[in-house]
Amino acid sequence: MKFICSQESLLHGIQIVQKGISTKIGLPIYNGILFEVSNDNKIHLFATDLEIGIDYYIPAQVIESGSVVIPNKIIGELIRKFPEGNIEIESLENNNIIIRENNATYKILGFSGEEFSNFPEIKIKSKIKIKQKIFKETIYQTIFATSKDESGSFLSGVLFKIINNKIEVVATDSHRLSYKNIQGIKPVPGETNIEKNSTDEIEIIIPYRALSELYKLLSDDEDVFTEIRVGERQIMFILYPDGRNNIRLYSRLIEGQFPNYHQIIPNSFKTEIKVNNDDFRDKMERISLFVREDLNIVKMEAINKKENSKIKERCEIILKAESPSIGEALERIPCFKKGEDIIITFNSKYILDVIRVIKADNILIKLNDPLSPAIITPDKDKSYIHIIMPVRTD
Amino acid sequence: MDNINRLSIIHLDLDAFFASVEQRDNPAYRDKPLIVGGISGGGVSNLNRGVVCTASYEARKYGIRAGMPIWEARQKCPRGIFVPTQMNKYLKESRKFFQVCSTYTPLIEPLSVDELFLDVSGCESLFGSSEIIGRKIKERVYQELGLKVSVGIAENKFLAKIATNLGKPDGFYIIPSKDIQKILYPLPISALWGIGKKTEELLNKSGIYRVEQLARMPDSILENLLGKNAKKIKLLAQGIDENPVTPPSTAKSIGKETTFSTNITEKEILVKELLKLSQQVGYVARRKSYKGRTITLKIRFQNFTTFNRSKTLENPTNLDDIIFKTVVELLGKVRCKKGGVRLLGIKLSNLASGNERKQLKLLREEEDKKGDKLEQLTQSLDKIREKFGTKAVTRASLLSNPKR
Repeated sequence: MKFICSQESLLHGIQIVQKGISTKIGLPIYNGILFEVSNDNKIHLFATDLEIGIDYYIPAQVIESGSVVIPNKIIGELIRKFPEGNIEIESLENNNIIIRENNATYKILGFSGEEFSNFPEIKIKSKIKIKQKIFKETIYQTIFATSKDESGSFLSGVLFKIINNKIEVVATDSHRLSYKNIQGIKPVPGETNIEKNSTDEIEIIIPYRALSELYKLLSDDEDVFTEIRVGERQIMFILYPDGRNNIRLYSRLIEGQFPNYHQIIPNSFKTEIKVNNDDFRDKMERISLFVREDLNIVKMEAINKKENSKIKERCEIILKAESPSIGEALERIPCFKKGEDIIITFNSKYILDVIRVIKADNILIKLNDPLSPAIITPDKDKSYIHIIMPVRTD
Repeated sequence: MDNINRLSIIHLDLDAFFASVEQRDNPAYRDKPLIVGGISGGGVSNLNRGVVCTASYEARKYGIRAGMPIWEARQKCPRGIFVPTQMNKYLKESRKFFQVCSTYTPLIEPLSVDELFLDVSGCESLFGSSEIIGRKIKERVYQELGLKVSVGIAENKFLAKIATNLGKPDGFYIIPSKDIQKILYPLPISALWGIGKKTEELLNKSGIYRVEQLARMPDSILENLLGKNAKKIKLLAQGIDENPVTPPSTAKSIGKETTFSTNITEKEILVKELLKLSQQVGYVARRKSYKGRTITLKIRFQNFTTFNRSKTLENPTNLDDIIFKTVVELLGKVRCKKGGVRLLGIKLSNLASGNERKQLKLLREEEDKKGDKLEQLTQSLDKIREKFGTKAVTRASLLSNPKR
């Protein structure tokens, strides 16, 4: 195998596919990137931890075809340190790799390309296309609610339920739940958020890791799509499906039955609070310095004062925290409140996690009682709902 | 002035605590002989089988004392009002009482629900002398809780408690350092810590009745009479007590370990030992009403290399089964060395007390329901063990193999 390509595109390619590598995997060969060279002046780069995998093509001048696995860490560092210009890579018989740049020559010990796994063939059940920007925002607003436990249960993934003309996206770690509803599936290509090739209802659970790597690869550009191919046990994302240099990411799917989340989402409330998101977030972040170490306890009070002002609903949220090792804290945040007074206690981390991903100016906090789930949503956007269970304090 | 400043120990004791709470809440009980007792939660019908927990001062006039059987109290005071204890209510008041005191110093040593020591040395510049602090607490307890507290102030814990007893009820008594002998010497010897009924009788037989006699007695004679305790008691009789006010230490972790007599290679035996240790750790944690989130497995091999592997759970636990499941999981992560295991240990840390705070769940999975059942089961087992001994119920796998 021998080829010449630019430092820039080589580095770009390495940085994309190396997201597929996980240090947890014990086999040294999978800490490397597969370089496959055929004669069409493209180099195929592929890296995987056998759970997910990412591949990408870079343009090159091919001199001799073949394949080799180059250790990721050293090749990444090395290429990054080269100046712009052409780099020649050649593999020798014993999987030694020679890298040449102007007057420099480096030799790296590699692995045989034939021992590396292949990018899997996925038997496609359904195919959908979705705008990258929307997909990216959806991941951002849901993924943090997954469980960090590594048992591989449905809690460690995000549910995508595709029904008729919408996708419901749900993640929960059983203490909180994020729900996003993507509307607007239309059959006209190019003018919609989502395109779909069948009317089948699809329900899949995508692992956290696949989505978090995908998030880093997705674009904020309004006009680009990603294609999602759903298989029986695997899923594949094709970024820039229309362009020539597309990125592909595959992942296994999590098997299991996601709980009925519609049952969990309450729909009537005794108290509804509207508060400025930035203000609420700043003060919550500040008071979080004083939370008790284990459950990050913050007490939230919304009580109407008797000598109320002209505007009936004007109220304030009082946050209280105390830490035996630090001291006590109190914050006041002006808000509007409808309904009953309430005192409720939360894990401040759960609150911060959600208010950090809501971009709206104002948020609504909807409550029933100190032991029932609370809902936090953007003020005017009904497509996103986040539910948090409070902390019981006796 | 110097002397006053040295009086930094305050002893506080709520007067007829349970009875006063009941009298406060029920105007009908006020100024009447009220006896609180019986079996907690057993209702009035069970009252006769219990003992007196607290008698109001009005009832004490009839000779009713704490610890007396209810039937005897009824005989002594047939017109007395008998009510069952409501422990939760008293504990709530107790917490408020402690809270008031803790605003003046962190050096608090609780003796029981209604009694504690404070060391206010160093707090004078903030709140004033111990006398002022004592008065403030007394006033606040009355205003905020509606209860009377007796206060004793002196230069050490022993004298402060003596002072409280001298002032009771509704007392406020200071023993200035110059008056120690004057106040202490005439008291009966039973006023000293460490002199119970038996010792008192013994000393009485030798003609010793008052503290002064003990204080002046030569060491050798006293040692003959009292043995090891002689020195301590003599010091107390002289008004000397150097024990500092010590706040209760909070446990950081609960752990148990076993060193095997021979090195163990069979996993089965290790797992069995872990089960035993899990039960021991769980039991201690439940007794002290602690729950821990972090569980650590300690394993030492024959060559003395030691590994600690831990896992932090989402919710704190003190259940044997959860501890056991976790340590077995951790054991699986340790690559066993040749030559076998010398020592196994389990530690429960990241402790939080009791049930008080819990992150609630949205989804009640099968496992949570199982968890609730497990908790009930463990509680029942604990009750059986408390009643019939630790070996009354055990795991089948922990029984030694029956011999054929």
